Amino acid sequence: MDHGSVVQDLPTSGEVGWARTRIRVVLADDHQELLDEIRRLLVVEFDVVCSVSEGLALVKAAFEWRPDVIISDIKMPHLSGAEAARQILQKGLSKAAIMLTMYNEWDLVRSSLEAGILGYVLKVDAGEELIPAIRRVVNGQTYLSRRVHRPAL
Amino acid sequence: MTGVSKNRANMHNQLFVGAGRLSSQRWRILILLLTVGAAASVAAIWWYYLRQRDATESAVVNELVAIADMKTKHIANWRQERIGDGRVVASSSLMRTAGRVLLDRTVTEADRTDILRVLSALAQAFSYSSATLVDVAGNVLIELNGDHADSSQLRSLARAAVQSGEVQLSDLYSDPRSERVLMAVTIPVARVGALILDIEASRFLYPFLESWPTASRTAETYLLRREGNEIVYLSKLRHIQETLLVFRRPIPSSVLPDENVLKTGWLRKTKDYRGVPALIMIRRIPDSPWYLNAKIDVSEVEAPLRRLWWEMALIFLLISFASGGGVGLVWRSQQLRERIRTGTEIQALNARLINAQEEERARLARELHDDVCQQIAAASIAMSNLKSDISEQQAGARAQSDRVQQKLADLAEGIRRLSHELHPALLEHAGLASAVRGFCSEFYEVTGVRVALEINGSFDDLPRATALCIYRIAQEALQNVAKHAKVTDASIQLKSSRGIVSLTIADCGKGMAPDRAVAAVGLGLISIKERTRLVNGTLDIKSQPSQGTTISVRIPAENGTAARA
Amino acid sequence: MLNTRILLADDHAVVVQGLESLLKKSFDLVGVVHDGRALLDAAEKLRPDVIVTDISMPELNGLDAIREIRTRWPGMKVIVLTMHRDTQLAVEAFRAGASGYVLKVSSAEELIRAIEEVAKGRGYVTTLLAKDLITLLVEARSQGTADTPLTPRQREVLQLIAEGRTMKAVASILHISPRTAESHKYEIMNVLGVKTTAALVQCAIRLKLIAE
Repeated sequence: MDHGSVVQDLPTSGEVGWARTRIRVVLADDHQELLDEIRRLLVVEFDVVCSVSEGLALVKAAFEWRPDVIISDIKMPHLSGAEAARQILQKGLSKAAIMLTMYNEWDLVRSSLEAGILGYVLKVDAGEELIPAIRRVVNGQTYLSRRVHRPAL
Repeated sequence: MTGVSKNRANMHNQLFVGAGRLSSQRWRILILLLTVGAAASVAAIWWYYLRQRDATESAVVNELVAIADMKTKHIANWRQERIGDGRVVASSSLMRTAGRVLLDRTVTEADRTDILRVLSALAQAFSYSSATLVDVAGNVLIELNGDHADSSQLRSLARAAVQSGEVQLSDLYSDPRSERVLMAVTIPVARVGALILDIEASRFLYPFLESWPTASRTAETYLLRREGNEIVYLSKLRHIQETLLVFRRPIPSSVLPDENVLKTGWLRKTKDYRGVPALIMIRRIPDSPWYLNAKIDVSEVEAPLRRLWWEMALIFLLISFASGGGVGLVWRSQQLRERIRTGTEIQALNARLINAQEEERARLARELHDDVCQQIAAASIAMSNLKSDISEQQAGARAQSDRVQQKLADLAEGIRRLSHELHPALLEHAGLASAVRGFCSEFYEVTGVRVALEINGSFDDLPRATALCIYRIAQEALQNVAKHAKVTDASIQLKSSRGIVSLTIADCGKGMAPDRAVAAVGLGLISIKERTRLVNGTLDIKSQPSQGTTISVRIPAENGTAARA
Repeated sequence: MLNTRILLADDHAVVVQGLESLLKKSFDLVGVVHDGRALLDAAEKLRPDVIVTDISMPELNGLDAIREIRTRWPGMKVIVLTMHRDTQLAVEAFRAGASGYVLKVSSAEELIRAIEEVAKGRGYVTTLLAKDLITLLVEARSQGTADTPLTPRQREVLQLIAEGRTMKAVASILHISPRTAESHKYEIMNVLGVKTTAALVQCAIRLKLIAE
């Protein structure tokens, strides 16, 4: 990294630089009201660069904005959020992804984890858990909602 | 919701009303046809019987009439022939010789030989039993055979012939000496005597009367004449012995027709001389005092009819049985078909109901999940946002907003669970295996019953409806366990191999009586049974009291379709 | 003899011509007729003593005419003059009441002799047939029994029956009434001494009326 260069790479938080830029987030959900609330929740601490409401648009937005984190519902028109996230992570368009969903099913959790998606947050708990989740996955750690059903032994 | 249920109700009505009308109409037509058919055959049989009866009767009558006819003509003819014979003799040269003998009152040997020769030829040719030349006093001058009538008879015959001057045929008379029945042809010789030729009735007349052309049990012909108010029977009667010329009987009081009718023949059905009902034909033999009777017993006439009657009755019975049997069979098959159809209809209805139910649930679940839950989630997040606006100092307000948020979260969770109960959306998203797994873990959370899950094979190719059915069965079974078994552990085995999906739910709980298991009584079990049937599966329930229950379901993966519209 | 009144009946012009002159010589020929009905009319009108008649003439059967005449006028005598040299026919004629039977081939003397005898109240039969009546009678009788016992009509009926026709059919084929047909049938059965229709058919085969 050349500190003197004019062109600047996208900084991530945690990288020591002369300015701590805010973490950049892309939101995806087909429920508009929910989308608004989440933005309102996040906007204080994070930079919500874009919000979309369907899968293909999510991929495009990731390509365009190279966010730090993508936060997406699983079920969305055209392309599921999970699938979109997988593609995005594979292509390295974003550092991390969080599934924000109603579905409290371990199978979905597992398949997300297998796809490299580190975060799984239930919408009902989003108010309390989404922000901690973002902080952790940005650091490469997993975050699962407290309410998520663990599998029986 | 109202839309779907209204549809269902309409389908319901259409199905039942339509089916009922069709079957009862066809049934009525069939009964009508069979009744008409049976009535028509009865009428045909009766008509045939009547025709046969008339034909038989008229055939017998014809026979009787023809025989009477023939015999009458024959006898009349025979009489004429005898008189004719007499006339020929009367014109022959024999008369000259006979006259001379009578006048001279002497018989030379030559005369005797001559006359006897001629007489003997005659007698031989015409079967005269004797020939006698007598004078008006009855004295015998020449006789061919000794056995002629007595002199008083001869005298009266000769006298009658001489008086009339014509050849005469006497009536039948009984010769007391020999007990034979005779007739005489008397030929007057000038005015001085007569040639008497005797005919024995038993030579031709009686045998002829006794003969009957066809073999018959009771038929006969006989001669009779009237004497005043009495009938004298002149020939042998078949059914009574010893009647010749002795048997007499007063004329029955019934009306006697006039001579014209008797000339051509008078036929009637009446009691004969024995008092037995018979068909009697009476004819007057022309140029004679005789009447010919031809008769046959009514019982013999009707004998073939009786047989016919029995045959008809038998045929009629057969037809009634056949048509009755036919009706019975048709009715039976109709009943059977009704039952099958009803069964099929009920099954179809069931399928429809279940499907409609599932659709509604799915819709409801979707709405709850997608719409309501999301909104609550949104509200919860909004609550968080609100909390961040409240300053640290307003602890009470912060606490309150915490509480509200919690409540919203709980509400959302509750509704999510409800929606999930209604319809496992996971089934479409993640497949049967995931859905079952999810249900089991949730089940544990809610009821505390641990479920050991064993899943083998792939269920991705399973039709959606079949997968849903299997899911529901597992759901029902586990709920039964929770309700009745009173255990803390249960197991589910879900396997897919070689085109068969098998699901086994077992517990070691309270169990139930085996017959109850087999009958599958209890709403939950009925539902399992229905759904299994819907997907062409087989259900096996094993249970013993205090030994737990095992529910096994086997479903073909390929052609299991839940909905049969 | 010249007073004997003769009525002649014949439809053969040649015969009549021949006889007329012959009879006129010896007797009183009161009339000549040519058919049966005319014969009866003439008999009534003319009251002859002797009728000389042929049997086969139009209008009325010869034998029936004779019967009729003998019934109505018993004193009237009838001589049959015919071609038929038939014993049976002669016997029938006598039975019907004829007093004489002469053949047309006989000589004139014979006819005159016949008339003379008959007028005296005796009978005459042509010497070509038999010497006297009783012989004729006996001969006829023995001849009759030698033949097949059935009359030609009866043979017809038997054949039809053996062919399997119903009595109704037989009657209509032979143009007789059904009753007559039945009566024939039973007569045949009687004569032949059979009791069933089957036996009747057998007889028909035996008599060669139908093939087997």
